[in-house]
Amino acid sequence: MRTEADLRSEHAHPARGSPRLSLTGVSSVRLESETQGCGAGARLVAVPHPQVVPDVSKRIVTALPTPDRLAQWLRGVLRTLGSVLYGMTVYDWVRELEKSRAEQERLFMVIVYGDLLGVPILPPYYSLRLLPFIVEPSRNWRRSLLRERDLTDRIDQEIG
Amino acid sequence: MNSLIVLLLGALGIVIGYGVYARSIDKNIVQPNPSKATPATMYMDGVDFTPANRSVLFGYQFKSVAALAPLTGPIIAVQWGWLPALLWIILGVFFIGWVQDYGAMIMGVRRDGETMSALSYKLISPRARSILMVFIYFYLLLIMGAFGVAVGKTLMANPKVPFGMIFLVMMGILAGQMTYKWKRDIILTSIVTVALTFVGIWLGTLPAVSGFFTSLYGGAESPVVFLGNTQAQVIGTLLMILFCYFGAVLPIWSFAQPVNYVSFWIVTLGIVGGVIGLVIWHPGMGDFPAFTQFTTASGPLWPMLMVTIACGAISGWHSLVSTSGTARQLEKETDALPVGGGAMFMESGFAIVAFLTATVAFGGWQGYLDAGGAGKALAIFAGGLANFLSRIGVPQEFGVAYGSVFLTIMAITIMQLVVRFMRVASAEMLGDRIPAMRNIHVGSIIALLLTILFVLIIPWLTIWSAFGAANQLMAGLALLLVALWLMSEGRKHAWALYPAVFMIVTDIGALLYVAYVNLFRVLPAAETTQSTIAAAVIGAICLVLIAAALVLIVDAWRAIQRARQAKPVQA
Repeated sequence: MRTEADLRSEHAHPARGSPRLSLTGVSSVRLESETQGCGAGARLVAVPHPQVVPDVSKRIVTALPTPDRLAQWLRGVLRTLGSVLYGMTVYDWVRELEKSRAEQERLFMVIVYGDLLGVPILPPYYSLRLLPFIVEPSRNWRRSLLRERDLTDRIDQEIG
Repeated sequence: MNSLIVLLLGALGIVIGYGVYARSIDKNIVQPNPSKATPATMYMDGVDFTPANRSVLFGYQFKSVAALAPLTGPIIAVQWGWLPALLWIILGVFFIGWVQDYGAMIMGVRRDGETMSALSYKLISPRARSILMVFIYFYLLLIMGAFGVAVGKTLMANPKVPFGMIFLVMMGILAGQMTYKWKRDIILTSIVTVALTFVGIWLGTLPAVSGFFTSLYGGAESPVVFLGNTQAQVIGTLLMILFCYFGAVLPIWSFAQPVNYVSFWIVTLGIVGGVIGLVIWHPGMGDFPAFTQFTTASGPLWPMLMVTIACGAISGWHSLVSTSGTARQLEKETDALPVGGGAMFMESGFAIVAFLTATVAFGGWQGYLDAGGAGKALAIFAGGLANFLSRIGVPQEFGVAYGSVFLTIMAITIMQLVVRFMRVASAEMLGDRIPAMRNIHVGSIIALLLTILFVLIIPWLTIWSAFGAANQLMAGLALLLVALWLMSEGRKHAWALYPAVFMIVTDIGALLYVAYVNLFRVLPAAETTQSTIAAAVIGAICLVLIAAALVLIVDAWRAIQRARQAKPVQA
């Protein structure tokens, strides 16, 4: 089902959205003022096109695979297979390297911003210089470092 | 019945199970919201929480859950006849298997990426966490024992196998070296290492090389040297232990991961080649009976068949992987079904291929018995795979060695990771009282000594039954957690609760049966020290697991009562 944003987008850029004579029978949208209810406002209403005739042959023709569609489908299948293969093979490696890097970043953060966690480190000048860069990741960093862990957490850490 | 019909039935079960039942549960009850932030996106820290594409995660999940069990379980289980085994694979995954994998995963996602022990602490009781830890440790020990017996006493004892395995490990190390040190392209690395591994497996079949191992094993008729085990079995076990030790103590990126990477290709090419050979050949089952008898050497059909085919139908290991690993990497809630459910259904396809190696590859029932029957499930798989591969031109002798290396890989890749985990488990549980347990070598050696004890004294079918029961009891407990979580959210929970009850009753029944047989039948009649220790150890472990499970069930029952009285809170 199309959302209001989709309808707006189609209205603004008809070429980008579904065709004018779409199977849903929506040819255009119009803006209506809303006066009933709790608040006044505007809403988009889909207007059925008067000339829409369900043309079965057209539907069949549009549903038939064209070389372009087949090529696109094949590309999608190959992309998915590639991703599955990646997940089965080198994803583990990549993840392990990312974990190592993240661990080093964590360590760096503890050294520089340990005071945010209650570790008594005198904030040096460079901490302030770096402060803008850690504002966003600091929430997850704190959560990650202080999160309670147990044995089953280690399954992923040790074997994943 | 023709093998193609079996494959079609399996595919039909997967299509209906995934496409209809699983989708309807997902859509109507769990109602995943693709725009809702998952723990992976909310808490992304690059360590525990990292979002990943669902196709990538599907591959990761499948690789993490598929091991030796789906390949050997069906071969043992056909001793009751092909029909019960096939029905359990198809119906088990249809009604129970995917429910556990998917349920545990989506529960982990909705509960902020909490793992099994944290969930049991919050949903069942505070003591549930400690009991679960004890349960998991013994469960891991049984994995090591079951896989260890398979590898050390059977596969590595074959003089044509060890050279191929040693070569594979060397190629794994080479793959790591090429990737990290020489910065070579992964495609070149893969082609070189995989091709050389095949050469190594072939070299292992040559008389000059296998002759060396035959002489190392004390000749063609290897002498009995320790607790009824032959020299070949003892040396094979020690070689396996050595692999596991390196896998456990070396950094994961330098040994375990590259070896697993090369292994993946060896296994995948074997499965693909085997399936192609099977489809070309498409033999029938011949005189293989649909049903033999209710009670076989492994025990009565219920509950022992259900625990014999563990992975492939349902496995507790999957819930650990789903909650601790995959649930923290899901980018969208809607990915849980294709990743968790999809990987489980695919694993059941693995089990069906293994089922066919036993039922059709040897021409029927007599062929299955002549090849060794349930007691030699590994030899049957290796021989069956060789028969399938021979249809695409792979020489039979090479095929058998390849099949044996294939199985060894499937077991060892999991075993070295289990030792890592056991090492951490012992450090966490005993590290405060015994500081030496924090040392990685001490923890690993203790885990491996326990494994040697299991491997050298306990018979294969006994340990397999105990492992299967513990594995599925773990699954039953995971399903119970899922049902409790659904109750706490006020959602329909019958689809998880009934499978949980079925699995728990079945698995406690199986553990009671194994304990009874070992403590009241085998132990009084034991004539050797080995069989006395084996019966006592397995019986005791089964009783410990039953006790732990009962405490968890009592606490879970109280939690269910609390959940029924409390007002549900929708997430």
